[in-house]
Amino acid sequence: MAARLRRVAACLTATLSATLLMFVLGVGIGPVPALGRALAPGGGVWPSAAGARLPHSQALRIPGLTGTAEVSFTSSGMASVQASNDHDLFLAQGYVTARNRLTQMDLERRLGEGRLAQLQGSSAVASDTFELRLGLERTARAEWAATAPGSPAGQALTAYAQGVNDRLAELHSTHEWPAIYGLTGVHPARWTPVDSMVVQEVLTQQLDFTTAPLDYSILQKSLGAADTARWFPVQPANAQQPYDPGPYHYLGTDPLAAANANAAAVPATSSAAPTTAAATTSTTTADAAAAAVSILSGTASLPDDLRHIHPDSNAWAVNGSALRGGVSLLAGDPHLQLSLPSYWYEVSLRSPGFDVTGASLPGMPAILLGHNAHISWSLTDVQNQSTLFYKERTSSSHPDEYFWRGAWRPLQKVHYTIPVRGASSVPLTVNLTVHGPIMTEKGQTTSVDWMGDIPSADLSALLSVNTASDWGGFTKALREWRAPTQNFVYADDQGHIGIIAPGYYPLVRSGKPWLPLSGTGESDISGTIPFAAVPKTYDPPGHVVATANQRPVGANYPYYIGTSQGFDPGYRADEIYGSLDGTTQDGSSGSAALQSSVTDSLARSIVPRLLSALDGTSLDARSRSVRTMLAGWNGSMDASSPAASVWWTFWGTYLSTVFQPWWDEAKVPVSLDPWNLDLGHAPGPLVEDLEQWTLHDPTNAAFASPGSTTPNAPAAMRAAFTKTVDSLTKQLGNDPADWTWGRLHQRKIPSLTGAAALGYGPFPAGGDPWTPNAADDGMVSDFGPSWRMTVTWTGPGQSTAKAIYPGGQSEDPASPWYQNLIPLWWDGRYLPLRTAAEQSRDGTSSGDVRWTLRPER
Amino acid sequence: MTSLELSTAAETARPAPPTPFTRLRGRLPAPVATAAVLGAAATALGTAAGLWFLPFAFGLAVGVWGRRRSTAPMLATAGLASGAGWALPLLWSALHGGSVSSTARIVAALAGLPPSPALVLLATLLVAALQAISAAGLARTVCHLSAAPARTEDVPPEDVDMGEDSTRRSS
Repeated sequence: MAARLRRVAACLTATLSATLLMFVLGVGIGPVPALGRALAPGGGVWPSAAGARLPHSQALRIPGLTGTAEVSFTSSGMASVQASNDHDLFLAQGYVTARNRLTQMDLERRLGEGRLAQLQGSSAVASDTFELRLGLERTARAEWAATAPGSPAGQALTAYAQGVNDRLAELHSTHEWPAIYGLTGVHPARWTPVDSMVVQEVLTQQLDFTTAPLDYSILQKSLGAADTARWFPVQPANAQQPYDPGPYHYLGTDPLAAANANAAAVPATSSAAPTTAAATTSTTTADAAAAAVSILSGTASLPDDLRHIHPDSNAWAVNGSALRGGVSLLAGDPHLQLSLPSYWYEVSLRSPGFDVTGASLPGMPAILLGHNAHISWSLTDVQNQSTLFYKERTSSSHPDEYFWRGAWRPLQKVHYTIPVRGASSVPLTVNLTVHGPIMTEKGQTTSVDWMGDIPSADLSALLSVNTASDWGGFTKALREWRAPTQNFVYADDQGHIGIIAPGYYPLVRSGKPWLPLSGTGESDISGTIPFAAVPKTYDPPGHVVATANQRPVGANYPYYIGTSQGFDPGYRADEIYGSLDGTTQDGSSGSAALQSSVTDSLARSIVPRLLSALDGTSLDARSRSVRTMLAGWNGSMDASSPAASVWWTFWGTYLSTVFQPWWDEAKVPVSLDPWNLDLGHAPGPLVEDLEQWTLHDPTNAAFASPGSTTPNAPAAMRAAFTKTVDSLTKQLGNDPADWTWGRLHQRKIPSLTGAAALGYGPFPAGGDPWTPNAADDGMVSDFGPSWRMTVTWTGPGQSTAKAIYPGGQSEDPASPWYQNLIPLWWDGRYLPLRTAAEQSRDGTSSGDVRWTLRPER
Repeated sequence: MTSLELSTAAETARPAPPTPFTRLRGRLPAPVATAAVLGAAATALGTAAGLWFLPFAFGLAVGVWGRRRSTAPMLATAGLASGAGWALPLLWSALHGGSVSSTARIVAALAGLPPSPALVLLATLLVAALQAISAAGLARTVCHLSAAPARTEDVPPEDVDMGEDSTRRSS
């Protein structure tokens, strides 16, 4: 009997273990995917190997095409699409992009739509929660609803989606899914026009969504209002070079063109009788700070680049006497989080309606920056304040209501379910007020009014820019551009150059918009700066226009556009203007060199003051050697430069010497937002302050910090220099000649998937955040020039263009086109940016791969 | 080397301490080899058709068929044949230019493992082998449960000679 029982037990054990094993292998458990399905050689991950193969010339049947479209790829992977009508052009663009960037497109839309956890598991729930609160998908749906299906934008989006879905249909048939889908068993849904708009919204968030008012709230609570205003002023402390120096005219305000898609409709009064303040939630500084803490904690869960932190892009144009060998020249290098695959997919598009070449955003039709037969353009971020936070008045006696314009109003509720791979779905309710979504109810109920939440016809504007032929057509197209606010830099074949910065610049009725505002109505947005009054310049007498995220206008500009915290300190702009003003550029070579320049203009202005401060000071042999090294340095942050290491370490130490005692005394909670509060990250306004004081106000009261022994700039610099030499000796050894910048500073290009082994680097690199070839986001930089382009116009319809970006056209890590462009980008070299006609003409001799796309029979 | 040669060598060699695996090495019978080859072929073809669970089915069959054979060799046969069945398509793909190694490296990286192709390849073979072993063990246990108590108690599975088939033993 006992033996029988043992056998039964053994049988049960074997059955259970086999069942459990097959369940795990077939369904997965928690974060572990269904490995049986994922690793079976006939399916799962293995067919993804097909993505590593380079394309070969062939004819393909593509459903939805109305005629034949031709696609070609250069040996480097650059794509060209030609079609007999615009519909086929955008359909083919969608198909070709999806062939090369499907994972990227899907990850971007999942990010914006709060569906990352469905693929990545519970680690992405916080990001999904934040994005669903912020409401990119709600905005995208409103944008699509406002787009006429027969409009150019409606047709382009529909055709593009069809092309993407044609590729998805192929994958459903061949099972050659990119590896991440084979591994997880989660596959992309059909592509829709809304998805394209979400992808655009994600880029808008990356360029436009900030938490500056929350930082100001925290600073005000810790440092106090006076020091916050003194050290983080609205206008920068240092002298900058705005591209639009005025004169300016106040032209009133324009209403916003559409309602916020994430705001409650102006509600009916719920409780008509106004309630006394005593009955409402208090709005103390502590509560506001608690709310700031809560929201900033939420942003900490986001990928690094989903909050606009690093203001790094360059673009300039020259004409007239500033250029030899052409009538005008455009150079542009937008700086973004670097990733593999890159933000950009290079393509040329040609149809009866379009003939345009440049960088496209995977997931969106058309070209975002590039050139057509007559004009060229590039972008930098304006950096104006586009995010306002509102302190909503709530009361426990009025649950689910908020007080606005004299009455209690019902919160509008939106309900979501966040699917999570390997775990239960997470329910989420988002509350909306008239200002926008409530981001936190901790401490002070706080909502956000973000310009990216307002539907805008950006694609319509972009399509018109793609086909514009002169400045008039260009600026007319950009009247419809709303968010993100961008500096559009322009050069054309007639020799004209200019910059215009269209978009929303929210203006409030009252209050300080750089702090969380009252939500009871008196500080609501009253409108935006009229298009006629936005920053711009056209054919200036100096023949140079340049933007590098510096404040685009001077102090007497009659509108509020943001504080010094939002804009770049202006050192890249100084370097660019300094290199271009009064000189003559010889074709594009000078601009190409400038795009790769690692000269730090702040170093060039401060180091002489440091050397002066050291004059007469007793230095040991090593310090004398370092001083001599600095005296002979040209400010270039080369990887091989020891002086660069000294400068960077010195500046950080100097900043800390002056401000850290104040920070310590005020107990500034830097961990809440290190990028904007931690002195180790050199907050922009403080850098501007210190530059200004060092050069022009060396006895500023800020030097007399609590317990300070360095009451003026020279004394603080001497102390910082001593600490610098000690620090570098400990870190890099006794011989200053060995202290090369590359030993401290590196660059890397991470994989979009987050898998470290699929990225590039880190490798020793030059540059810093203030050099034209910017390297931001710490000592292992992953933020910088995401695309470099120059377009030289030599006459009507005649241009020579070249471009490069740090990545490759394929997203498949096993493809030869995954990172083939990085070495060129790293060395400051370019490839020709060929139009479709040029690629068609030259491709035959250079052996381009050609696809003939034909309609389905 | 054929099974006949193996048998001859085993008869002339000095007897080694008996273990299930020395028995397997020394006297690999034709039916077992045939089963292994058939199983490997079946799982290889099955995975091409998307039947990721075929190693389990094969393991069940091996478990039933080998219910009166020694446990370890029977399980080893199931595991190795299934692993081979999944290895063959990958080998074929690699020989025809497929980037098997690169794909394995990418999958390892995506899974947060060290980016070694060997890890994923090993995991793949292990998944096939585990299915088959688990199923073979299950089948064998169920068979023994359903068998007559006296017979199964008299002849513990571990003591069954691998070289004998059921016909010979019952005669």
